[in-house]
Amino acid sequence: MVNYRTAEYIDWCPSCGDFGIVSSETMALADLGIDRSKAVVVSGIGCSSKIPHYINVSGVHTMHGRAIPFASGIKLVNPDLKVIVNSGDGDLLGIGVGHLVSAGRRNLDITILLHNNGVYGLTKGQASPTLHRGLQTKSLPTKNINDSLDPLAIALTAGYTFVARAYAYDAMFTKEIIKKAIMHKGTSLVDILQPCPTYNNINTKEWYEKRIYKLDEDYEVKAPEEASERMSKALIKSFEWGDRIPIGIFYENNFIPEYGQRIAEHSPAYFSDYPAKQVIEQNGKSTTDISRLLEKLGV
Amino acid sequence: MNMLAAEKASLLVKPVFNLKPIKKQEMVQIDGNTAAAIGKIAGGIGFQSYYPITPASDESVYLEANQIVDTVVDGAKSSRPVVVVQTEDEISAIGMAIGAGLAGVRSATATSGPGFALMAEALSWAGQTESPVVVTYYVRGSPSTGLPTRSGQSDLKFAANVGHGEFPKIVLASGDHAEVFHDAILAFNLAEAYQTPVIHLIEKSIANTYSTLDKAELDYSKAKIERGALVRMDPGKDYNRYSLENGPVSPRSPLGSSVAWYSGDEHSESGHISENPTNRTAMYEKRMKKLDLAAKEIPQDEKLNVFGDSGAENAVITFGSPKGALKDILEDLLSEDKIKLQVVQVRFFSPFPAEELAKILQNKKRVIDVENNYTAQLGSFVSEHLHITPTHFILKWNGRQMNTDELRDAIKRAVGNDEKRIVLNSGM
Ligand SMILES: Cc1ncc(C[n+]2csc(CCOP(=O)(O)OP(=O)(O)O)c2C)c(N)n1
Ligand code: SF4
Ligand SMILES: [Mg+2]
Repeated sequence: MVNYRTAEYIDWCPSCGDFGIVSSETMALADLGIDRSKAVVVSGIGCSSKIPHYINVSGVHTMHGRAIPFASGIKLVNPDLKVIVNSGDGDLLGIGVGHLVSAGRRNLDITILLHNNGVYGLTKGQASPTLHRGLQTKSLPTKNINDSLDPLAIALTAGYTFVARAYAYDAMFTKEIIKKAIMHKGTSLVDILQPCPTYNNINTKEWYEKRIYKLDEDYEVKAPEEASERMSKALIKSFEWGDRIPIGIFYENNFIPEYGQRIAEHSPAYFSDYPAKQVIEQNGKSTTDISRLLEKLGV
Repeated sequence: MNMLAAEKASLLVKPVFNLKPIKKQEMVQIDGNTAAAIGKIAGGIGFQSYYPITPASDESVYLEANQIVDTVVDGAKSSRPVVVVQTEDEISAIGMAIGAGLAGVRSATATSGPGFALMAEALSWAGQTESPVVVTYYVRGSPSTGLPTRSGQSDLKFAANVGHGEFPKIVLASGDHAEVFHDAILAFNLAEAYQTPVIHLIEKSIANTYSTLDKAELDYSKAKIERGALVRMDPGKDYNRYSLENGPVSPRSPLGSSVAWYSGDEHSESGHISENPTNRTAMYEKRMKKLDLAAKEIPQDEKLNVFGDSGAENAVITFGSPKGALKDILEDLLSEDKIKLQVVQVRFFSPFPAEELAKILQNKKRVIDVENNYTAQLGSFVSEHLHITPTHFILKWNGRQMNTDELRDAIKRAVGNDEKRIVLNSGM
């Protein structure tokens, strides 16, 4: 049995929702039987972004907000890898929101797991972009006067082809969603509601568990013509936040070409001879021949 | 149409001078952007990311247009695809390039001042995680948007000091089109040899001008492709990415071939976060020692390009584009103005070739610093590292390249009239 957990000491606060996420994610990797050396977890900076150190596949703990670019670079040169991004809501929707939106235009086959706790945990509880206006969590000196961003609505309109929401303490459910997100060919976003018992005293375990309910299984676009209607429905569903909060898969569209396929349209050898596979040197000499290029510049 | 007319006309007239036709294809006409792109291709690039900016993007667009490159592997002709991505910004460009490097691919990005400013944090990350990446930095007139389509050399210190914290970085500047080509290959070798970012400076005045070169000047058959301590570990086995066992450069196995961890946090040999003070001291030193190693291993003739009269009492120090004008005026200065000069074109700024430079400059009567900026940035490198201060400065920051007439005149004024600071201003 492969152990998908490392022996690193976990320094999250007791009963932090991130424990649920690390369990779900490692169980998902185990269920899928993913080769440890063929998976990479990429994160930004935050409490949540420490997760690569606790998962026993390759890990890249990058900069605040920048996990998506790093993950994209890795995946682009080695499409055989399973690349998963784990980052916080501040990370992905604050400083890194440009990358989150732009990723939708590419539909590269990576999975993004967004730890949504409504706060900047690591920097001691300031409001994150998902905290609703008017709320005053523990560390805030005044009520939050910014409106909130909805990760699902952003993902849907930006072009993500798999959009879901999970709840950190429901580890089995989250695991199943993560598995589907990993197996989806294209960019997937899972918004994971993650209680932060230390700084978010409003969106707590009790608060969530009174409200969340599971969506039915009808989310997939079955024909290209159906896409906009499906997306509109998913978008309307994503606005539901209050007494009832839906979790589950909101949208999946398998008709949009994945980025690698788009590359392969002009570089047909891409999937069989992607950059990480190429032999660029033999006996210390370059294997690349530039004579054709120089001929074009001949005078 | 014109060619056709010319050919027809040439058949009608009798040859006057018995000129032999120049053999086609022995010369190439090349601009700096293309020289860098072709150099990267020759050097084995697999990934380039970029966000459009003048005067850098032409390099990336050339790569995009030529992304399927010819190869000869095991004697068989084939081709391989290079991935080129236009990103949403320069932070993404550098992030993707570093990511591609972690997966074992020679990766680069190309930008100019404003874009490079956005890359600072990521370069610090690459230094801390010992990740190779090449940034081709096209220098234009700064600060801010400055003179975006003109040239300058005022970003030298910024490039050399980029990123918070202390980490080894390699910074080099090319002096002409042939250098650009070879340096593009060299940059990849150095990035992988020392597992750290390499910043390759090319001025706008080289990027967007053409040289006609003999193809032999772009011959890279003797150039080595050195991948440093890149290994493919047994996938079943984990390894310590930052092993302290083999000196400052530790074996690096690409993502996808074995399990490893990378973190911008200080880390232990395994790559996991560590705040242990003893480990901190050792890891920090491991990184910094790579620069000492680079200083030792990079040959002197890569670091400095020395020409002119070694016995001259006057030295000119410069970097980048003034090389061409200096080469052109040496002979006239000697034969007509009776001024003997030794010229030192500095090519490396990190590691800075202090000892090598000191040997050349220590007994000179005059050290004339020629640069395209206001504060004489190369001069301050020299004062900082050598305890030799240039005696005269010839400076220009109007966005135009130095021309031979004004430069020759300025050197005469420095040597003859002892003018200490001469500001040039030619150009339209
Ligand atoms: C460029 C930059 N700016 C600011 C910080 C400081 N910082 C560290 S974590 C963080 C926010 C973390 O919040 P979030 O992304 O929601 O993650 P969480 O801790 O809640 O899991 C900030 C602002 C940083 N590391 N880098
Ligand atoms: S501060 Fe909040 S998010 Fe961070 S570890 Fe503690 S409980 Fe978790
Ligand atoms: Mg957060």
